[in-house]
Amino acid sequence: MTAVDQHSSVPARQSRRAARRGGGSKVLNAVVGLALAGGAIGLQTLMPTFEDLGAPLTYTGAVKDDVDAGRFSARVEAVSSARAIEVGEKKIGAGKDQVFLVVQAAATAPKEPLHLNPAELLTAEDKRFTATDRIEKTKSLAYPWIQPGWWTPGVFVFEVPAAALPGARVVFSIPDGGLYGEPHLPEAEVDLGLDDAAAQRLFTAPKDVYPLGDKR
Amino acid sequence: MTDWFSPASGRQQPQQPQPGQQPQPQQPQPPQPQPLSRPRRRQARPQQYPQPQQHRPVHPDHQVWPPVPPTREPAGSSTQPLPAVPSAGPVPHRQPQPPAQRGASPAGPPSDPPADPAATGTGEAQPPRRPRLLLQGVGAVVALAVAIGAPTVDRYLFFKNGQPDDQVHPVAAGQEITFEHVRWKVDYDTMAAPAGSRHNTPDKQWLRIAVTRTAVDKDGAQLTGKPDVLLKDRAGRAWQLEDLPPDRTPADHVVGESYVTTKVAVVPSAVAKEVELELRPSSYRSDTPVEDLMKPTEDDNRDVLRFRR
Repeated sequence: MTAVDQHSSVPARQSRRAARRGGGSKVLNAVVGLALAGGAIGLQTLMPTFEDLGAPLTYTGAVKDDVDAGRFSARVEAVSSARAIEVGEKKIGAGKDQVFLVVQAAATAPKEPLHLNPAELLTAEDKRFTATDRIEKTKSLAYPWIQPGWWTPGVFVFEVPAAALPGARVVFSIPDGGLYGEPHLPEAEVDLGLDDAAAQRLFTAPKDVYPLGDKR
Repeated sequence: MTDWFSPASGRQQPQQPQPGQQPQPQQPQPPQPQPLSRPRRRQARPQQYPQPQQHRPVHPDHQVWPPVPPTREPAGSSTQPLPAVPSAGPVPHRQPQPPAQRGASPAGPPSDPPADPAATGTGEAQPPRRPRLLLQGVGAVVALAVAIGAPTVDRYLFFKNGQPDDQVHPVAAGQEITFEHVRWKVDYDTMAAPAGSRHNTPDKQWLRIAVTRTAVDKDGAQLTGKPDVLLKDRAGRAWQLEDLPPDRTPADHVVGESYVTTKVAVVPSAVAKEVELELRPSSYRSDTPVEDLMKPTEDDNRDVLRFRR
């Protein structure tokens, strides 16, 4: 029996050695392992930041497009500029080197009534301007209920310098609902289509007064 | 070395063993035909077992006693398969053993030629390898599904925990319902659009809805919280209502007395006849001490009263 045991063990050891030779050397294995580990670490740098992970879902469109953001739809009807806004009896003038950008918009909701947030103006350099608070919220589209069945018109007024106008986009969003914050709220981003010439025209030739009537 | 070995290794050159064996000794020989007695075997041993001494000198750890029978080859002497001898007893018994070893380990049978393990490895190990690959693939898919699904389900349950499904209590048209110490009644009516309203178009219909609440008992008189109301059509679309200024604001509710709140809503004309009021009673009690106002209550506000048209 001793001889039989030796018979079976010797060729097994030989074939194992042969298999190791066939699978590659230790150096190659180490290189492959290091490459895998390095790749795994490198992938971590592509991990989105916390802000990106909670970023809203953006639906884009152009002026006069109905941008359907799921829970609401928004549309920009027209864009104009003014040196002053007339609210009731009051006249509110734009600051130095600034102009009022008036975005006439409309919004509707497919199912549930909701309010819009004050819109934001996103510039070409990704700077954000929120709608001016010098004009009451009740005069803007952020005030009325956005309800199913019809489009609710309204305006958002931004007070911006000339540099913010070229390539600007308007972002409509809805407020986060209460205690359990939602991670991916919808937002509608409308490109105003302002090239340098149009932006220049808006800034250098604004209307003197834009009357903001009570349209209720 | 004793005198058995040195003379034997010296003397036993090939093919001398005439006395005991016929010229077959190169073939493996079954050990049966040697029921020799001990004295006789000691004398005849050089003739009977010529092989081990013939090949190489004996190592210190080599098995010398009991003497290795000549039927076994020395370790590592050859990888050639042992030729099958029909008359040999144990050989036919051992023949089926190598295939069993072959299946268990890819090392192959010890006596196979070197090329044979590779051949058997591709020929016989493939059927088991494919199921294993399939199993690994299925396992990877399942692991991915679990890795994505488990957090999703967990977050959904967390979300659902904060937003439980509503429990709707339907109320027949024109009927009242007594719910948690308060009796509720809703009357639907249409109204003309006010002049100058932005909703002054024919595709929209103004509704005036009177919500009547009556405290049934003393607890009901304390449940003065303003209910949440919404108009819903059959498709599930919802519209907001606005309160008209009430005729009178009761300083304190009186048991059995009815208080009417009039609400106004604008809905598309197409659904003006089908929209129904959903009323969610508030669990606020007017006798709650100020320090308890922020305490969480057990009421989850899941109950909704739906007043049919």
